Amino acid sequence: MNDNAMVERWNIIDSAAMAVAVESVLYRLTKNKPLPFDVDEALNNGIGFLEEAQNGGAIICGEPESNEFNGTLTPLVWSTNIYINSKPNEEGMYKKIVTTLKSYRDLLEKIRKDEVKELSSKADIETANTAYDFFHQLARELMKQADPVTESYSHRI
Amino acid sequence: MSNSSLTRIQHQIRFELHSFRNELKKLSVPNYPSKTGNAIIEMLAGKLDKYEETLSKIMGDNEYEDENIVKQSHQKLITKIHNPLVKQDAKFLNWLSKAQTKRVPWSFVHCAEELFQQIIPNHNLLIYCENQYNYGICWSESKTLAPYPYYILSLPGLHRTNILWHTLVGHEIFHPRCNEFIDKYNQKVLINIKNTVTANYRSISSNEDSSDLFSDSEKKERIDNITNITHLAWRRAMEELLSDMACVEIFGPSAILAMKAFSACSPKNDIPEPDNNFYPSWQYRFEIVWDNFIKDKLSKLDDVYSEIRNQDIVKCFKEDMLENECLVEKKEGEHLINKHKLAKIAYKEVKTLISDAVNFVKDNTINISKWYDKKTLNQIPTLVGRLENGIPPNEAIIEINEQEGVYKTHPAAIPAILISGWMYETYWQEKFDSDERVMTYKTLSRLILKACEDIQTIEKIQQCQS
Repeated sequence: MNDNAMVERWNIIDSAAMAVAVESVLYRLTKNKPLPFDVDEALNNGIGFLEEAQNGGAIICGEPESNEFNGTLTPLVWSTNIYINSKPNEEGMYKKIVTTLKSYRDLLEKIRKDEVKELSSKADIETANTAYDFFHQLARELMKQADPVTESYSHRI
Repeated sequence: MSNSSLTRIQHQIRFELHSFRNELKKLSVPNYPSKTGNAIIEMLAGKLDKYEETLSKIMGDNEYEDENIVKQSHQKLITKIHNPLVKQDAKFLNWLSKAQTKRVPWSFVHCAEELFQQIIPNHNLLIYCENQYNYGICWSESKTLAPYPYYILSLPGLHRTNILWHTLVGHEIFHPRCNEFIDKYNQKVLINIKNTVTANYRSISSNEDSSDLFSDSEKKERIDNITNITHLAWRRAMEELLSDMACVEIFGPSAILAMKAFSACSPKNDIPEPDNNFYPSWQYRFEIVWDNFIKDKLSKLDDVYSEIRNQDIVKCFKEDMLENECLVEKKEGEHLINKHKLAKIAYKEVKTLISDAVNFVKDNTINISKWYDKKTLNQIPTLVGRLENGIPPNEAIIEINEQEGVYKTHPAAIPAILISGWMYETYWQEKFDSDERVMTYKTLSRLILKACEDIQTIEKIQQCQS
């Protein structure tokens, strides 16, 4: 991270924390375990991240949802990296990514709005499982990038 | 992931929090040139309390029989506490130790803070000297990381007392305002960039061109990646150019000369790319600010020139200005951009926004004292004269009558102090090596620093009198 710059809303440290927290919520929901203490924060941040990634994807598809996209494509780039790792790179990929991100966002919003403690519908369980995999992979990737140890290394100068 | 690893990391983090608290205690002992240093120490102490609370919650939320939950708790300790503490908060320990009074140009700190308050009201600035050759400002839009109410401005440590260069704080302080402008045009520009990048990508793919524009992995339909990089180049260009514009709008020729002096050892005309953090080239930056902020206003100095007693100073200053004019005339910066595909796409968007950017900067510096204000211009000849005689250029005396106790004076405006300093500097550069009797550069800097210190005192005396 550059010392002489703005720390972006979706910087690597916050984004890694968000991914771990959402992964934890989804895991506990799918396993019928009590939700974690940070469930509200996790859902808010997860929805915010997916919204920015989804809006970025809509712009790439040529179908922006509003005229006020203030973010960057970084959340989309991270999400696309995860998507490509699990699925072949194919025609219409960005549309599929946007649809997938939207389904994850809808699920998180439903959990937040209805204060869901347990998933009942088969479709929700299925989405929760794939969303869990997504956030699990995202957390792994972002934690790797956020590791303070790899920021510098011993070397001859 | 075993339970013992979770316990171990918990102990490590508790130790880190304890050590951090100790460091803060040590940092609360020395003096800081303003209240910001101690306020930040207090803010960080509060943050450590919150980390301790979060740590207890994570440990209390754990289910030791489920390996995945143990692993997630372990990751939460890292991502919610360890990483922000060691990667972000720890920077404050460095910043604070280098922000102590003895380690910064303390006479100038209040001037920079005042300018900061005018541009970013209701926030606080910490100024420190870093052992790196650059000016910088750091702030955060994160909802969890430091430093929310604080902006951290760094000056190059080896040039701590080189006050004339510190004209460039005008550039740094405007950086956080740039987002307002960028957000307004962000989506439109992003769509334009995406469309052009896609069109370029298709033409390259169809020609099977092995251009280095897209690497192999990027060729796999990664329009998002290339658009993101090009968009970043646009953002960075707008940030730097808007900040340059603000600095030149306020300080005028002083800003140009400070930019020129500071960039003297850097390449002048490089393509913006990831390796140089997408900095626009110095040449391009000079061209933009000269054309939009100096060219039409330089004649305002004509009346000032005739009032300056030592015409050698005027001659040297005019020669430097002429040199700058020649430097930008050929538009080499603009020409180079057009030779690089991605830079060309990004800077096409920059170019269309220049006149809006000029208006944005003018609107947002409207209440700030500027170099071309009549009051500022009137002070310059007096201040140059004071400097030449080894007196700090701190005030423009209107009337003195010792018998009647009359002492009417105006504290010098910062743009006037700096422009008189730079005028003398151009003369100094010419005369110093020719063994003529001129002061050292250190003395010149000390006189100007003293002037910055004095204006606060003069203002306070005037407030008491009125």
